[in-house]
Amino acid sequence: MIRSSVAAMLSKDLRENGPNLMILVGATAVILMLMARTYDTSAYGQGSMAIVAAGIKSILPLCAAIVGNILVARELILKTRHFLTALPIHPWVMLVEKYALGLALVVVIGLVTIAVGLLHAGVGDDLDAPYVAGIGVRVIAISLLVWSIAFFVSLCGRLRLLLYVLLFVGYLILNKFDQVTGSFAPLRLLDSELLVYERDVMPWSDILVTVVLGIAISASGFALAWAREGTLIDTLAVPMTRIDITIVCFVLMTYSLVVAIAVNDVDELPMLPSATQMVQNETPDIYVYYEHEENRKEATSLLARLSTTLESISHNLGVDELPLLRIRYSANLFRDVQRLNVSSEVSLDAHIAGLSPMGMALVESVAVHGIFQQLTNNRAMYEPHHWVTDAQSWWWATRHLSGEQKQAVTDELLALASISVAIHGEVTSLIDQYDQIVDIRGAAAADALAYSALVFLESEIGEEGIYRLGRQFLTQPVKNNYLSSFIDARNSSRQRFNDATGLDFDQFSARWQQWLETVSAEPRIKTLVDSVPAAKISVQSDVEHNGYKRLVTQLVGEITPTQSKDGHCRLRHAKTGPTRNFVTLDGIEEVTISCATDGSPDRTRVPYATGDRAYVALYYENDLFSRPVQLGAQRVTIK
Amino acid sequence: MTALIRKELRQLLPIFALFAALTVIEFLANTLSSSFGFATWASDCSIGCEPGNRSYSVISVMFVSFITAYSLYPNEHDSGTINFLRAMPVSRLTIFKAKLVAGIIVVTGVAVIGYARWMLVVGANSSSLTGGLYPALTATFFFRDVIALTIYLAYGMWLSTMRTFGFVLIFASVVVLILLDRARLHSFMDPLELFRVEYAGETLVLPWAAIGFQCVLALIALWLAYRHWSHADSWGLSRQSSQKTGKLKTLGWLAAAFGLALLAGTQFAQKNPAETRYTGPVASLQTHYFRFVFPERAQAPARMLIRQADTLYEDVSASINAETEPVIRVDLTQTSEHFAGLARWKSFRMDISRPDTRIGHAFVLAHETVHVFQGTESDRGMRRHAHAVQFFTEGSAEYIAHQVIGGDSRRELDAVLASISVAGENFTFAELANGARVASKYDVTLLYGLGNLWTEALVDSCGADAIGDTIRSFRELELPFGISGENLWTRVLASIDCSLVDVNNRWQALMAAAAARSMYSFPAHGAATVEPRDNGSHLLRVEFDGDSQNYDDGRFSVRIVNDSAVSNEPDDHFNGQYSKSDKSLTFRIPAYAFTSKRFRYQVMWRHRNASVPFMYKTQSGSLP
Repeated sequence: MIRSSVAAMLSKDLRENGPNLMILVGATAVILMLMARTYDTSAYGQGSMAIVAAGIKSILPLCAAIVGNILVARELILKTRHFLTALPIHPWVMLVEKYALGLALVVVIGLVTIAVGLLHAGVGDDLDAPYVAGIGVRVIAISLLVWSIAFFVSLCGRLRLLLYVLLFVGYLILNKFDQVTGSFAPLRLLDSELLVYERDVMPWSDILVTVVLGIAISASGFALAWAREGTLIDTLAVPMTRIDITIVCFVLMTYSLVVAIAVNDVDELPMLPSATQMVQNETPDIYVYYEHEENRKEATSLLARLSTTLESISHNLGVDELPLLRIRYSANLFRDVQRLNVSSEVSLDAHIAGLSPMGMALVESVAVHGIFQQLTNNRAMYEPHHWVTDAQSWWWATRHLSGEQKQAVTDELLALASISVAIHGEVTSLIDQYDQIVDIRGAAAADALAYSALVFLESEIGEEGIYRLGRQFLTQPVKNNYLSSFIDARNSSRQRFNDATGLDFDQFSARWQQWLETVSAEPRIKTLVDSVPAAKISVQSDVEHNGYKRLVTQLVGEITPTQSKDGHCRLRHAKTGPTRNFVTLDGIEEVTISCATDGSPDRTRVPYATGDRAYVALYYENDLFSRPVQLGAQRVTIK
Repeated sequence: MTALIRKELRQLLPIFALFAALTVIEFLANTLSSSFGFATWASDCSIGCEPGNRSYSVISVMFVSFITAYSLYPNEHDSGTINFLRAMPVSRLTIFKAKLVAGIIVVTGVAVIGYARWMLVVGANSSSLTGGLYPALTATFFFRDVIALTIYLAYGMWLSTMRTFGFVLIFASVVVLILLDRARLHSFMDPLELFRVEYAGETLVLPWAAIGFQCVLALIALWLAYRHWSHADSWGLSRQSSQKTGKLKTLGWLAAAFGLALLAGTQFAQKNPAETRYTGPVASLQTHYFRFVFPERAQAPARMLIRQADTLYEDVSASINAETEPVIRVDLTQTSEHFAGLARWKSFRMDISRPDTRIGHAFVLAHETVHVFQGTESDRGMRRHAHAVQFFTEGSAEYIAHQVIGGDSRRELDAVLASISVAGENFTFAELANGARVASKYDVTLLYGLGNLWTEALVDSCGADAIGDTIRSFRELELPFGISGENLWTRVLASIDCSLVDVNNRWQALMAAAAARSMYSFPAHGAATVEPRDNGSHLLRVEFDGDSQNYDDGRFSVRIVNDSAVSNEPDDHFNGQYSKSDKSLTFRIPAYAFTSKRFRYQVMWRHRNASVPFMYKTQSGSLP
């Protein structure tokens, strides 16, 4: 009786869906053959059986979903199942028959991938029966699992698309965390290398786990079909109401939130020390690593300075616990280049040997900058706060310098600030346009402007005011979520400045720039300022008659013969996108250009294409400044 | 008509709600995991907005358009409600138009919500340079996405005539696209070209040729969809009346589509085969550690290689104190212009048809054997951080192969050419340990030379056992996905009691010494121009002023980077000539090598006895 019922059902399903299913198998075979063809002709083809791994991972799940749709879901959604229930056949027989037919089809499709692989096998593939049989066993186990999932999802009627999306996203996430993939049997079985290139070891335990999992999911499918005397799957098959859609959206939201939290929960590991020798300070925790004994003196000196500075920051800004700071001596870095990494601790790679007082102060200021970044969870980098961060970094870095050294560093910074104002005019707002200041005037000038503002502020409200400003901007971490951001944003930067200093920011800004003008007239500063030309850059793009692209640059402003003789003008240019800023520039090229304003422009051939955008900056170098002074910058579109 | 559109919109409301919910979810997920006001154009659009890239919004566009398209007609037919519609005093064309308009409204609505979220997040950043909005740019991106959504909606309406088989067809079309791409299809034919990002200064350049071509195809798709849906009965009726005809029709459609796809794929693929497969008689030989399959016609070189194979295996095994003993399958029947050997797990392929001169067969065998050991000794652990480890994967294989085989002169040349390629570039370890970046900026072959030197530095600093210990350490170390290369290597070396700084200092010293020994000098090349020639090819001229006497040991070549989004095929290389009098390098390049008006190229110089070329950085160029 049962046998005849199954035969009747099978006959009905084959009559109804046979052509479709045949087309599916045929189409799959064609696609697989096309894919095999792409593998054959690929430069890095890896043998005929590579198609099995690709097919099992991509086509088999798609086919299983289609089979599930044809055999199970459509019957539920179109309610034709009800006609069948009127027949003298037990509902279980119907379901088992559909399950078996679907499984057989999916297994056949899995085996078709192997057949296509065999069909495309080359003479060098060295195929033998045990190898092919081994792949066959693995493919059958995977097919069982894939069909079980498709069967279960198909029984969920209208929800199936949603479930497939969730499964797909889940699969992508699992793949992202490779450790999970490596320890989860079915995913290990699906590994492209092990699935078809492992000939010697048969992963029986993985196969067993996969089969058991497949059986469990299948059983869940049957249980779902049995639930509420078989009415649950009918309920799931009816069109979704607004309430259903709301529930679905809610589920999706919860799922996404869980995923977002899980993905973000992977802490970035701090950089580990990696050097043979180091000097260390315990409170605050500072390690300075170096390789050669001859660098011990510099390392010890830097450690002593940083210890004093950080202790002072901790005490005066009221920070109980400072992050661990590691500084590594990197001989291969340029002296004015530092690499800062901020996670749960701060690490800095820098060239610390043979530095001038200014160079040493620069290293220290970058280290302090990293500390502020860590303390604020990177909020210190936010533009309206950034000028305070830069200013305080330099202020603390220069605070414990000896008198002469401090004078030299301060003079150079104040001169840089004065030059910037002389060339580009007054600063509109350190709060609102700090990015643009850095972009056009250069990072060194921006540091100098911010520092000079703080020096002026100190003269107005004293050291305690500087501490209050630091406490206001640089000691409170802001968590990575919108709520914390909103709470943090309740106080505007101007308001924070006012709270800390009791001054109106705009009035302060005007007075600071007047003060800077006075300072620039002081003999020591004036000597420095006068050594640098007050010139800007004007850049255009043109094309030579033979097609070469050029940058046509001209210095606009005054350059004295002495300045022209004693210094060098350098042009730095780099390709940039329309939305990129100066920080993300890469592949900067440098050429020396004429340092004169005699009206003749410099023409530099550049390796850019029509429509490219280039960032072009002009630097002036002389012996009085420890770093090249950026005179200006401009973006230009290549013709 | 308006009433019909309203009805369709009502019907599509759940779909729209779902898409809207997905956008809201993404926004909500961000509320828990990121700071408000930090997102910038530079940070949030680092892939999709970079010039030369294709935006990854293609996936979401396809998803939205196809789901919407599938919700227009099939459901109506399945539930039989199409019959009620047809009973109304409106033409079937009007019904079709109403559905199309409703579909366009929905996909545009989804785009509006997506861009509103984007504007809210990015616009909240008060940063004066990178934050805020670029209204013209945003508007052009939006316009482009709406066009793409509409085109894909049209395709979806046609695909929905085939119901679930439409999805199979989508899959097939992707495969065909790869084949067509290999055959260098014109860029405007590529549907993904709609998403290519190119700028003229600050303005996004829309790919009008591709848009025009795809619009024509979309109109054809709409006509086919209309023809089908206006004649098809509802599911219930069709079953009663013309079930057989319908199935035959579907069958015919599918057969035609797949036949065409197969034909196109096969034909196009044959035009540009990257590989030649040997089909003649083969022989096989089993040694203690290997099983070789080789062409009978290459018996002599194969047997010569096989004779040394086990000894090489043992030498490689000893050099890393291997704990595993994999049996390796070697396919010697492959001929390739792109590789001498290619390993995968416990097997590899080798091209024995190449002359056994520049890179000896024994060397390749040793190199690939090291790769197999890397996999088994690390239990595939090195694969998890492929880009950060790639330089060591290739470098240690080169180093050990040289140790086992010898060939000091080639090793010296490789070291010198790799070192002078990066001399003066402040090339750091962080860059070396970022394979993707090196491949993009230079070429992946650079990793062989520099990795070899780094491995030498590792042995100098940490002892002879360090290579094997390093490989095995990947078996146990569980490091988070995406960890920086430098951080990863600091931990890897710390686990074998070694210092990365020591190794890197030694590496830098070795590179500097190798560069100092160089008898070749390559001053920076200048700009490039492209001139079309009469025969359809182009002449690429690169400004270069070098010492011609040095360059006779090799030849200049240029690599034209394949920026295809669908196929991962090797780039084309073309040899060129240096003219001292003209101070330029010239390369004749066939038109097919340029898939779009903008291209990336890289000038190289290959010494006849070296495996690593000298290379300049990749540059961008444009056709006149």
